[in-house]
Amino acid sequence: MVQDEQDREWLARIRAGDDHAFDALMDRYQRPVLAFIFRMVPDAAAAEDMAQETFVKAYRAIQRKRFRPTKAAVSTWLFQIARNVARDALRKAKRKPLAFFDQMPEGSSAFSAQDGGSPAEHAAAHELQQIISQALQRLPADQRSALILSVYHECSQAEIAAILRCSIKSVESRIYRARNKLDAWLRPAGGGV
Amino acid sequence: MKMDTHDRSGLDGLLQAHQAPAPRGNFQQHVWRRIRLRAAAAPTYQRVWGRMQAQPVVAYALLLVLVGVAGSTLGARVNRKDSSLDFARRVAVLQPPTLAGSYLGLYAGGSP
Repeated sequence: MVQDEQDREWLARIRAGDDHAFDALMDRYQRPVLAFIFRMVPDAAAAEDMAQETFVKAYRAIQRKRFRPTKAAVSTWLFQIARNVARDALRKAKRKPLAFFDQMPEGSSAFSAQDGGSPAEHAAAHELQQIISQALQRLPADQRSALILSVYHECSQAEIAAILRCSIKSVESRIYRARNKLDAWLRPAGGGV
Repeated sequence: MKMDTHDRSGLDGLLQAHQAPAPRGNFQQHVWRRIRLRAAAAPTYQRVWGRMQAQPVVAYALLLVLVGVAGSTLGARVNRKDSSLDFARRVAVLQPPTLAGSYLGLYAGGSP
């Protein structure tokens, strides 16, 4: 709640032309927004591009004369924009999300040498990351976004419903289905790793 | 890593292995650059509209000038039309049975 109050204060300051307030907003949310998009579109470069686009859209929206701050939390509003940006990109690509893996260069993985551990551990972690990525991408976009927000961002069902603009019942159903599918798909990976 | 697939926390634990990259150091600079590029590339009417919103006094002054120009243009047109009204009256007298002729006659202020 305190955080949201501060976010709203920043919004007011951004509207008044205070660029430092927008820097502060980006500081707080660039990581979660990027993480959310990366799990929707598993290409690090494309995800970063979309995360930047999310903040550009947010800034332009705040500067609009008719801008009215949402009743929901500022983070919810930012995730809404991020989700729309990712969805539009996937639509534009007009191909299955899995195609992102084909163009994924080696360095674009979230894993790198800085994670430490032996080369074997690193390779195993990288492989597991790929398996989970692919399983996430097999999910329909609405189920994937609901699950990502629930598992990785610890959003409540009400928050997810606000972000995805659907009912809480629908969120429950999407997460339930997504979990069941991942359970089935990841069983061999989980047992084998 | 072993996983009980029927255990929700087991699935969550496995999913946590999926790490997202951290934003690059120049993330914010890239965002600012994009914002400035978009502002510079905005269509002229958007920039003019933005200025007008920012400075309403200038906007009202411009509006007054526009209304003045439009009014004088319209006045000049009406003056020029006087002669064409005479022509319309003549046409209406010559062709009273036609609807167009009646209309033109009425418009010109006389009976067809």
